[in-house]
Amino acid sequence: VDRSQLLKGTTALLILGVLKDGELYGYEIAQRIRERSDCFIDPGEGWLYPALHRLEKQGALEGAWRGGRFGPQRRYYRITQGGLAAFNAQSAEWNEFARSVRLVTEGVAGA
Amino acid sequence: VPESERQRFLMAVERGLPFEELERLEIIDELRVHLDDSAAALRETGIGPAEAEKTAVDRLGPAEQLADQLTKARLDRSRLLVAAGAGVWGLVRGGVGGYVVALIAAYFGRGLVLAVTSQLVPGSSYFAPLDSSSDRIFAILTVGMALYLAGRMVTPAFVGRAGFVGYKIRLLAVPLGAAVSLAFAALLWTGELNLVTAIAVTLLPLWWIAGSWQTRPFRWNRPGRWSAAIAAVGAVALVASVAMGWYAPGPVPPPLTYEQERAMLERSMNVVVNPHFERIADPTPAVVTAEILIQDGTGRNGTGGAPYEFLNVVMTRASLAGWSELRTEAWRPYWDGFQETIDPTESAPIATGPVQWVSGTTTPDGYNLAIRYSATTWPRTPEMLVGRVLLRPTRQATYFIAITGIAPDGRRHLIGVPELQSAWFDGTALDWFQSALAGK
Repeated sequence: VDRSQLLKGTTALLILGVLKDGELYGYEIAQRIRERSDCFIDPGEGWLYPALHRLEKQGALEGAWRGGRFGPQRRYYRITQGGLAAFNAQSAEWNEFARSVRLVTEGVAGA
Repeated sequence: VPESERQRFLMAVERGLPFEELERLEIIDELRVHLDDSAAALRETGIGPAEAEKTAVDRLGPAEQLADQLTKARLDRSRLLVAAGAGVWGLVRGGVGGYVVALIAAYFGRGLVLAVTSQLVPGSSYFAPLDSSSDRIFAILTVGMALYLAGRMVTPAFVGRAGFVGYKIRLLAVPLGAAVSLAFAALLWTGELNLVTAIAVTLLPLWWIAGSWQTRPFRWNRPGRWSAAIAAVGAVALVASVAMGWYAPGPVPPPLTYEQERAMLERSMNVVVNPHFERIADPTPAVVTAEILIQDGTGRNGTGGAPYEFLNVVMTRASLAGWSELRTEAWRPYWDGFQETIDPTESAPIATGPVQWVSGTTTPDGYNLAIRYSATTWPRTPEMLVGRVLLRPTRQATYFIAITGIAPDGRRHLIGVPELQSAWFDGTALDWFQSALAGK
């Protein structure tokens, strides 16, 4: 199965999902998604920054440059109230969709 | 190698980002930090530095694709409005600023050309070495440079704000501007033209295309030592040439000697002047000649814009009773070594036109001939037989303008004396090419 096809449409959900727990920079976001999915979701990283910039444009995220005392300046992303609301809505929709797929594939509905 | 590969990747991404510099650099900085983090993490797993950095780059995918996706991600409607404003501002700034710069450049460029020609071409002068049709090339080049700079500012201004990929903006800006400038060049630009200037006007859209094709903002790089030296020498040469033209305007033709003047006079006295008007038509009947007070040729060179040549004959209408098929004719002249005569190889006029009767003393192109009556006693009500013919030669030329008609004897006669008129092309480039195709 081509996982990238399965992931289509879920990038915003994944990003908002890891950012609702605190601000992160780009590389950390990719790592956090990889870790939380037990390395199941480990696509290339080319999709990450276009998605971050799109969410920022939409107002779901806020980005700001911040430097560590010893490290380089990094652009940190923080979820906004609008982003949180979007996450809740998308999350609910995804759960409903996943449940429906499971019902179909496991034949629980018995129709 | 890995460092250069990373740099190449980042440069390729930057090349594909159609944003202004600050925005581009911010995106590239973010990607650079990401690559550093990614490579560092890979090195911790035991991968060598070179392999780690290559893998980090590979994980971001093809640079062009990433740039394209970043561009699309950052596009929204408000950007389009800002971009439209920036594009219009770029157009105005480039057009006006470019025109001013081009005017200065054309002034000094013209000075250089005139200074050189006035020194090298015998008999020419810094102040009038070119005919008016040729001199127009500098005005055309000025407009061309302004078009180039306007186009040079428009596309990058639009691209920088709208985030469109360059070729999409080009698809709009290049043909649209080229069409507008072509319409302006071919249909609206009117003036004295010849082959070179007609082509130069028609090619004006190329200036726009060359400018608007660029998607990157113009960036002034400090010139190298040699470039600066060459530019300085060029600037000094341009200024010096103008100064030289003013203070040494070229050789003035020496005045004729007494012997030369005398020889010309004797020659004119000994030659029977016959311009061979009989090649046009029979002479004006004496009865009609007696009814002509005065005649005057006017037109293009007199009014500075009218494309017609006029022959105005002040006479009485009654004297042409019984005449028919009155018309105006333009005939090619022939220089017989002493004077202009009717070209013996021509059997028909080069162009013909209508005639009309006009009351009063003002010609249709604005000359008031009343001052010519004041010295003459003429007890009749003046009327004017006005002949008009459209001449658009593709280069400056002279023509005999005549009014003729079929007299009661059934033969075509002259009415008045044909006049030699100088004419040159004045119109649009499209008109010029039509004249050229018509063999005028």
